[in-house]
Amino acid sequence: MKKKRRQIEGFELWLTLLGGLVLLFILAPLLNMLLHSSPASLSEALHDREVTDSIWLTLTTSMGATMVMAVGAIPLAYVLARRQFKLKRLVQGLIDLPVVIPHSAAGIAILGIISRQSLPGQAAGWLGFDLVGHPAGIMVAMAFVSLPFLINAARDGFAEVPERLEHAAQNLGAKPRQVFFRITLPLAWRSILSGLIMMFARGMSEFGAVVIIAYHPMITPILIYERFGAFGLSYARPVAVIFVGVCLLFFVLLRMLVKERSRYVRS
Amino acid sequence: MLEVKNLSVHLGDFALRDINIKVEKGEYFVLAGPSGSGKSILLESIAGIYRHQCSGTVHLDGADISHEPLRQRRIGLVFQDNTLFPHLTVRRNIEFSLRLNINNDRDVKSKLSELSGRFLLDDLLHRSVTTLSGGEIQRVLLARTLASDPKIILLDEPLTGVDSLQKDLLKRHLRALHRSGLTILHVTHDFDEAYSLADRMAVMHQGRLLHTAAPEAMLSRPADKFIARFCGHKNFFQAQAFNGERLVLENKIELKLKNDLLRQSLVSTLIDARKINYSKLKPSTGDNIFEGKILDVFRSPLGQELLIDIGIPISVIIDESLSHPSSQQIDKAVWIEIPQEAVKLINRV
Repeated sequence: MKKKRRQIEGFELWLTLLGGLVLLFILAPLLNMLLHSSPASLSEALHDREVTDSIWLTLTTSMGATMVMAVGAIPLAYVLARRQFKLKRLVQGLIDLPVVIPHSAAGIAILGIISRQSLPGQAAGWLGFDLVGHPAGIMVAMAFVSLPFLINAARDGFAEVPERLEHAAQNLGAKPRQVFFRITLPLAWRSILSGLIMMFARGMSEFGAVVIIAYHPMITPILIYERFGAFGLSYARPVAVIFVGVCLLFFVLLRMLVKERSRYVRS
Repeated sequence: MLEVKNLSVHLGDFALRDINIKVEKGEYFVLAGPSGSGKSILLESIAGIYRHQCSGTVHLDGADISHEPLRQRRIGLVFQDNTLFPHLTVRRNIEFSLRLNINNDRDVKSKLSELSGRFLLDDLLHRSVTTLSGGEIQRVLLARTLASDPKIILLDEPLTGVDSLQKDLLKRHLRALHRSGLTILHVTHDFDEAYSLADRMAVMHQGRLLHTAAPEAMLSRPADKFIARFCGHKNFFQAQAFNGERLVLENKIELKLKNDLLRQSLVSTLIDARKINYSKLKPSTGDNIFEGKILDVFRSPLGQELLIDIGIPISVIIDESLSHPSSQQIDKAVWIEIPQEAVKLINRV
């Protein structure tokens, strides 16, 4: 018996070791990048208007894309969680499509529907701007590649809300709208917020699709790429470190918000 | 009041078939049956959840509500599982229901305090519903359901998962609701629960309604073997009578009796397990003595219960003060005597 127990411990040690290696694989490049950046170079990058503007642009476009898309994505997620319909699997597959296709290819595809010849492009033209090379175009590209994160998380969140609770609310006399806003949405809120954060974070880090839609104005991932191409590693690195820091900060802050929220819901 | 006619529901492999129920105004009607008999689905169908999978009609106060959505039926359903909204406190749960029906804040407040007083919830109002006990959950569910001002309430196993002290309290609440004139349709798997609450009851099995009767009649004159078992009768047999003096149980065991009902050819027979005489040695004299083998032996509140195979399995309850067989005696040969007074004959309907 004792021997058997020791064997399991040994096996668990192996699992931990292998898992640890994977964690190291994620951490090592980031730490290496941080350790190779001097405080002076970081401070210089922080005071570089081009850098701060690009970070600001990245944050706002990604946030904007997330908020605008949430208006339709959350209802879609609800329908996917609750209703059975023909071709549902096809729709699910379609939603995951942006994750599996190369993002440069996604960029090319999006370009086709927002260029000046397209309907949305013409509509933007009447309003006096061109979607290509515009923050609105960047938002479209970001939204395209990051939407699955929101839809899938929200769908799972809705699916976890027992349908019984909705029936109970209806039985008490609640209209569908009241059931959705007062029962289902508050109960699925944690997953939806999680999805919003993931979509926002994924949008911020997008390069491939955005670079095809809008090289300028420059979002930070493109700025890093440009500095690396034009001036080399030592110029690109501080921007990269600062941007990773900003992403992490937002990620952690928003995660904490979700946790606070859920604690509030429970108590 | 509530009238269900020819209701059938098909849900995957399970089907409710041709259900007919009539519950009178102010009546306490209990639907009893084992798990899986379709009681919950029936209640939910009446409440309107499966209205797209249903055929047949549901009338409430004379109006056909078969096609009305859940929220318009005015049938308050207390689900079997806890359907309190977990993100709301006890107070907010009840208010959720009140505010859907009352606009005026003062009326909401006074109705809330009335309900909370009635179901002893004053100390619980501020609590999160995730911290309540089984009995407390049921009381809040009852209060929340009544807050929606239903014409009838449907209770799905309201006493299951509730400890016995809370159970008594809940039963008192239910009887008080009944006395106040509320019409109640209550579903349970527990015969004693049905017996202690119902004006009338029906037994369900495998998606069908078997029999409807007053609880006393259900118990004293069970309509068939399933209902007899469900009511707790140990020994119920179909029997054939001959010449006014012989009775053959299940075509196997012959008893000699004197009973007027023996003139009929087919009767149902209840044999009181406590009145059967049991012996390890063969009795020297007497009628209706059978040799059998012990199949099972266990303790019951009435004594020691033996299941004995005398050609048909028959239960015998013996006083614990008697020298009783231990489990080593399973398969041992024993004798029983079935006296005249242990046998009750029921006219087959």
